Amino acid sequence: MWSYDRILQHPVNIDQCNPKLAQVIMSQYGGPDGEIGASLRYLSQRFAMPNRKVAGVLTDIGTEELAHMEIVGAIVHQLTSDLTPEQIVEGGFQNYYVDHTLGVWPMAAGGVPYTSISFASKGDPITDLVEDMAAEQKARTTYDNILRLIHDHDVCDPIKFLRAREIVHFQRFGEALRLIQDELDARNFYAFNPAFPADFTK
Amino acid sequence: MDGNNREKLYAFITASSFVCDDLRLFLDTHPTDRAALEYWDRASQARNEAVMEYTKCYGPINSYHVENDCKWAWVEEPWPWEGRC
Repeated sequence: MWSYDRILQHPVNIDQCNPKLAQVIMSQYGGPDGEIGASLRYLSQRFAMPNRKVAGVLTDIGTEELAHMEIVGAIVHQLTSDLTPEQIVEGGFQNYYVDHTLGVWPMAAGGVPYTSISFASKGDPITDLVEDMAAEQKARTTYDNILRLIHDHDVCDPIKFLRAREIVHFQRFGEALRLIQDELDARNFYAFNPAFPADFTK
Repeated sequence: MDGNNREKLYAFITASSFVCDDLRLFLDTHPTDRAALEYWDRASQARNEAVMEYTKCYGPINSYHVENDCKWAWVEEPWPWEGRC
Protein backbone atom coordinates (compact mmCIF):
# COMPACT_ATOMS: atom_id res chain seq x y z
CA MET A 1 0.00 0.00 0.00
CA TRP A 2 1.23 3.53 -0.75
CA SER A 3 0.50 6.98 0.60
CA TYR A 4 1.36 10.32 -0.96
CA ASP A 5 3.63 13.00 0.54
CA ARG A 6 3.28 16.56 -0.76
CA ILE A 7 6.97 16.94 -1.60
CA LEU A 8 9.04 16.49 -4.74
CA GLN A 9 12.11 14.37 -4.08
CA HIS A 10 14.12 17.18 -5.72
CA PRO A 11 12.69 20.69 -6.34
CA VAL A 12 11.69 21.80 -9.85
CA ASN A 13 11.35 25.56 -10.47
CA ILE A 14 11.56 26.51 -14.16
CA ASP A 15 10.65 30.07 -15.18
CA GLN A 16 11.27 29.86 -18.93
CA CYS A 17 8.95 27.69 -21.04
CA ASN A 18 10.60 25.67 -23.80
CA PRO A 19 8.43 23.19 -25.75
CA LYS A 20 11.40 21.80 -27.72
CA LEU A 21 13.14 20.71 -24.51
CA ALA A 22 9.85 19.38 -23.11
CA GLN A 23 9.54 16.98 -26.06
CA VAL A 24 13.03 15.62 -25.42
CA ILE A 25 12.72 15.32 -21.63
CA MET A 26 9.26 13.72 -21.97
CA SER A 27 11.05 10.52 -23.01
CA GLN A 28 12.16 10.06 -19.41
CA TYR A 29 8.46 10.12 -18.41
CA GLY A 30 7.05 7.48 -20.76
CA GLY A 31 9.89 6.50 -23.09
CA PRO A 32 11.70 3.13 -23.33
CA ASP A 33 14.10 3.96 -20.47
CA GLY A 34 11.79 6.35 -18.65
CA GLU A 35 10.73 6.50 -15.02
CA ILE A 36 7.28 4.91 -15.49
CA GLY A 37 8.86 1.83 -17.06
CA ALA A 38 11.49 1.73 -14.33
CA SER A 39 8.87 1.81 -11.59
CA LEU A 40 6.65 -0.84 -13.23
CA ARG A 41 9.67 -3.06 -13.90
CA TYR A 42 10.82 -3.18 -10.25
CA LEU A 43 7.37 -3.20 -8.66
CA SER A 44 6.34 -6.09 -10.97
CA GLN A 45 9.52 -8.12 -10.49
CA ARG A 46 9.33 -8.16 -6.67
CA PHE A 47 6.43 -10.67 -6.50
CA ALA A 48 8.61 -13.53 -7.78
CA MET A 49 11.81 -12.39 -6.06
CA PRO A 50 12.68 -15.17 -3.57
CA ASN A 51 15.06 -13.11 -1.40
CA ARG A 52 13.29 -10.79 1.07
CA LYS A 53 16.06 -8.21 1.19
CA VAL A 54 16.18 -8.00 -2.62
CA ALA A 55 12.38 -7.74 -2.74
CA GLY A 56 12.80 -4.79 -0.36
CA VAL A 57 15.32 -3.16 -2.70
CA LEU A 58 12.87 -3.59 -5.60
CA THR A 59 10.05 -2.10 -3.52
CA ASP A 60 12.07 0.89 -2.35
CA ILE A 61 13.67 1.68 -5.74
CA GLY A 62 10.34 1.08 -7.53
CA THR A 63 8.76 3.54 -5.11
CA GLU A 64 11.52 6.11 -5.67
CA GLU A 65 10.97 5.78 -9.44
CA LEU A 66 7.37 6.90 -8.90
CA ALA A 67 8.80 10.05 -7.31
CA HIS A 68 11.10 10.45 -10.34
CA MET A 69 8.14 10.14 -12.68
CA GLU A 70 6.62 13.03 -10.72
CA ILE A 71 9.82 15.11 -11.09
CA VAL A 72 9.97 14.52 -14.88
CA GLY A 73 6.26 15.31 -15.15
CA ALA A 74 6.84 18.55 -13.22
CA ILE A 75 9.70 19.51 -15.59
CA VAL A 76 7.57 18.83 -18.69
CA HIS A 77 4.62 20.70 -17.18
CA GLN A 78 6.69 23.76 -16.27
CA LEU A 79 8.43 23.80 -19.67
CA THR A 80 5.03 23.89 -21.40
CA SER A 81 3.07 26.20 -19.04
CA ASP A 82 1.36 29.22 -20.57
CA LEU A 83 2.48 28.49 -24.15
CA THR A 84 0.89 30.70 -26.81
CA PRO A 85 -0.29 29.17 -30.11
CA GLU A 86 2.67 30.93 -31.78
CA GLN A 87 5.17 29.38 -29.33
CA ILE A 88 3.58 25.96 -29.89
CA VAL A 89 4.19 26.20 -33.64
CA GLU A 90 7.67 27.77 -33.28
CA GLY A 91 8.69 25.06 -30.80
CA GLY A 92 7.47 22.24 -33.07
CA PHE A 93 4.98 21.25 -30.34
CA GLN A 94 1.88 21.22 -32.58
CA ASN A 95 1.75 17.45 -33.17
CA TYR A 96 1.75 16.77 -29.43
CA TYR A 97 -0.56 19.70 -28.69
CA VAL A 98 -3.25 18.62 -31.11
CA ASP A 99 -3.82 15.34 -29.22
CA HIS A 100 -2.95 16.31 -25.63
CA THR A 101 -3.14 20.14 -25.42
CA LEU A 102 -0.73 20.81 -22.50
CA GLY A 103 -1.52 17.57 -20.68
CA VAL A 104 1.36 15.28 -19.69
CA TRP A 105 1.05 11.90 -21.45
CA PRO A 106 3.53 9.00 -21.33
CA MET A 107 5.33 8.64 -24.65
CA ALA A 108 8.86 8.51 -26.06
CA ALA A 109 10.49 11.59 -27.60
CA GLY A 110 9.82 10.05 -31.02
CA GLY A 111 6.07 9.90 -30.32
CA VAL A 112 5.82 6.16 -29.54
CA PRO A 113 3.26 5.62 -26.74
CA TYR A 114 4.46 4.12 -23.45
CA THR A 115 4.71 0.34 -23.77
CA SER A 116 5.64 -2.36 -21.25
CA ILE A 117 7.53 -4.12 -24.09
CA SER A 118 10.47 -1.93 -22.96
CA PHE A 119 10.96 -3.95 -19.77
CA ALA A 120 11.04 -7.55 -18.57
CA SER A 121 9.68 -9.32 -15.52
CA LYS A 122 11.09 -12.76 -16.15
CA GLY A 123 10.62 -14.51 -12.80
CA ASP A 124 14.35 -15.32 -12.63
CA PRO A 125 16.28 -13.28 -10.03
CA ILE A 126 19.55 -13.22 -11.99
CA THR A 127 17.83 -12.38 -15.29
CA ASP A 128 15.76 -9.64 -13.63
CA LEU A 129 18.60 -8.07 -11.63
CA VAL A 130 20.95 -8.00 -14.63
CA GLU A 131 18.11 -6.35 -16.58
CA ASP A 132 17.70 -3.84 -13.75
CA MET A 133 21.38 -2.92 -13.79
CA ALA A 134 21.24 -2.44 -17.57
CA ALA A 135 18.07 -0.38 -17.19
CA GLU A 136 19.76 2.02 -14.77
CA GLN A 137 22.64 2.46 -17.22
CA LYS A 138 20.26 3.02 -20.15
CA ALA A 139 18.46 5.71 -18.18
CA ARG A 140 21.79 7.28 -17.20
CA THR A 141 22.82 7.35 -20.88
CA THR A 142 19.51 9.02 -21.77
CA TYR A 143 20.05 11.68 -19.07
CA ASP A 144 23.57 12.23 -20.44
CA ASN A 145 22.05 12.72 -23.92
CA ILE A 146 19.52 15.19 -22.50
CA LEU A 147 22.24 17.12 -20.63
CA ARG A 148 24.14 17.65 -23.91
CA LEU A 149 21.06 19.38 -25.33
CA ILE A 150 20.21 21.70 -22.43
CA HIS A 151 22.09 24.52 -20.76
CA ASP A 152 19.44 26.25 -18.62
CA HIS A 153 20.47 25.75 -14.96
CA ASP A 154 16.87 25.43 -13.76
CA VAL A 155 16.34 22.44 -16.07
CA CYS A 156 19.83 20.89 -15.73
CA ASP A 157 19.66 20.84 -11.93
CA PRO A 158 16.84 18.27 -11.49
CA ILE A 159 18.08 16.28 -14.53
CA LYS A 160 21.55 16.00 -12.93
CA PHE A 161 19.91 14.83 -9.71
CA LEU A 162 17.97 12.12 -11.57
CA ARG A 163 21.14 11.04 -13.40
CA ALA A 164 22.97 10.63 -10.09
CA ARG A 165 20.16 8.44 -8.74
CA GLU A 166 20.57 6.05 -11.71
CA ILE A 167 24.15 5.48 -10.57
CA VAL A 168 23.13 4.85 -6.96
CA HIS A 169 20.44 2.39 -8.10
CA PHE A 170 22.97 0.58 -10.33
CA GLN A 171 25.18 0.14 -7.28
CA ARG A 172 22.32 -1.19 -5.13
CA PHE A 173 21.14 -3.63 -7.81
CA GLY A 174 24.74 -4.86 -8.09
CA GLU A 175 24.69 -5.52 -4.34
CA ALA A 176 21.27 -7.20 -4.66
CA LEU A 177 22.70 -9.51 -7.35
CA ARG A 178 25.52 -10.43 -4.98
CA LEU A 179 22.98 -11.25 -2.24
CA ILE A 180 21.31 -13.70 -4.67
CA GLN A 181 24.65 -15.18 -5.75
CA ASP A 182 25.65 -15.72 -2.11
CA GLU A 183 22.80 -18.26 -1.90
CA LEU A 184 23.96 -20.16 -5.01
CA ASP A 185 26.80 -22.47 -5.99
CA ALA A 186 29.77 -20.16 -6.64
CA ARG A 187 31.14 -22.56 -9.28
CA ASN A 188 28.11 -22.02 -11.53
CA PHE A 189 25.78 -19.11 -10.66
CA TYR A 190 24.01 -19.26 -14.00
CA ALA A 191 23.16 -22.99 -14.28
CA PHE A 192 19.38 -22.55 -13.78
CA ASN A 193 16.63 -20.19 -12.63
CA PRO A 194 17.03 -20.13 -8.82
CA ALA A 195 13.33 -19.21 -8.40
CA PHE A 196 11.74 -22.09 -10.37
CA PRO A 197 10.97 -24.76 -9.48
CA ALA A 198 11.15 -23.37 -5.97
CA ASP A 199 12.73 -26.48 -4.38
CA PHE A 200 15.36 -27.01 -7.08
CA THR A 201 18.07 -25.21 -5.09
CA LYS A 202 17.48 -27.16 -1.88
CA MET B 1 1.77 -11.26 22.43
CA ASP B 2 0.74 -14.31 20.42
CA GLY B 3 0.22 -14.85 16.69
CA ASN B 4 -3.51 -14.38 17.14
CA ASN B 5 -3.04 -10.87 18.50
CA ARG B 6 -0.64 -10.05 15.68
CA GLU B 7 -3.20 -11.15 13.08
CA LYS B 8 -5.98 -9.21 14.81
CA LEU B 9 -3.88 -6.05 15.00
CA TYR B 10 -2.82 -6.41 11.37
CA ALA B 11 -6.44 -6.88 10.29
CA PHE B 12 -7.42 -3.77 12.25
CA ILE B 13 -4.66 -1.74 10.54
CA THR B 14 -5.81 -2.99 7.12
CA ALA B 15 -9.44 -2.10 7.87
CA SER B 16 -8.79 1.27 9.52
CA SER B 17 -6.36 2.25 6.74
CA PHE B 18 -9.09 1.60 4.20
CA VAL B 19 -11.57 3.66 6.26
CA CYS B 20 -9.05 6.53 6.04
CA ASP B 21 -8.52 5.96 2.29
CA ASP B 22 -12.24 6.19 1.64
CA LEU B 23 -12.76 9.16 3.99
CA ARG B 24 -9.85 11.01 2.34
CA LEU B 25 -11.62 10.86 -1.02
CA PHE B 26 -14.89 12.04 0.49
CA LEU B 27 -13.17 14.93 2.31
CA ASP B 28 -11.32 15.98 -0.86
CA THR B 29 -14.68 16.93 -2.36
CA HIS B 30 -16.53 17.74 0.92
CA PRO B 31 -13.85 19.58 2.94
CA THR B 32 -16.25 21.16 5.47
CA ASP B 33 -18.43 18.14 6.26
CA ARG B 34 -18.40 18.13 10.08
CA ALA B 35 -19.36 14.48 10.55
CA ALA B 36 -16.72 13.32 8.07
CA LEU B 37 -14.04 15.53 9.69
CA GLU B 38 -14.80 14.07 13.13
CA TYR B 39 -14.82 10.56 11.68
CA TRP B 40 -11.40 11.26 10.10
CA ASP B 41 -9.94 12.39 13.43
CA ARG B 42 -11.15 9.25 15.19
CA ALA B 43 -10.26 6.80 12.40
CA SER B 44 -6.81 8.19 11.64
CA GLN B 45 -5.92 8.33 15.35
CA ALA B 46 -7.04 4.72 15.90
CA ARG B 47 -5.13 3.65 12.79
CA ASN B 48 -1.94 5.44 13.82
CA GLU B 49 -2.06 4.02 17.37
CA ALA B 50 -2.49 0.50 15.97
CA VAL B 51 0.43 1.03 13.56
CA MET B 52 2.65 2.18 16.42
CA GLU B 53 1.68 -0.80 18.61
CA TYR B 54 2.27 -3.25 15.73
CA THR B 55 5.62 -1.63 14.94
CA LYS B 56 6.74 -1.95 18.55
CA CYS B 57 5.68 -5.59 18.91
CA TYR B 58 6.21 -7.12 15.46
CA GLY B 59 8.15 -4.85 13.11
CA PRO B 60 7.71 -1.82 10.87
CA ILE B 61 4.68 -1.11 8.64
CA ASN B 62 6.35 2.06 7.30
CA SER B 63 10.09 2.53 6.88
CA TYR B 64 10.04 5.89 8.72
CA HIS B 65 8.96 3.99 11.85
CA VAL B 66 11.76 1.44 11.79
CA GLU B 67 13.10 1.02 15.33
CA ASN B 68 16.68 -0.07 14.87
CA ASP B 69 18.38 -2.27 17.38
CA CYS B 70 21.81 -2.16 15.73
CA LYS B 71 20.20 -3.63 12.59
CA TRP B 72 17.95 -2.24 9.83
CA ALA B 73 14.66 -4.14 10.36
CA TRP B 74 12.81 -2.94 7.22
CA VAL B 75 13.62 -5.91 4.99
CA GLU B 76 13.43 -8.68 7.64
CA GLU B 77 9.69 -9.31 8.04
CA PRO B 78 7.48 -10.95 5.36
CA TRP B 79 6.20 -8.68 2.56
CA PRO B 80 2.41 -8.38 2.33
CA TRP B 81 2.20 -10.09 -1.07
CA GLU B 82 3.77 -13.31 0.27
CA GLY B 83 0.41 -14.48 1.70
CA ARG B 84 -0.11 -16.51 4.84
CA CYS B 85 2.90 -18.71 5.61
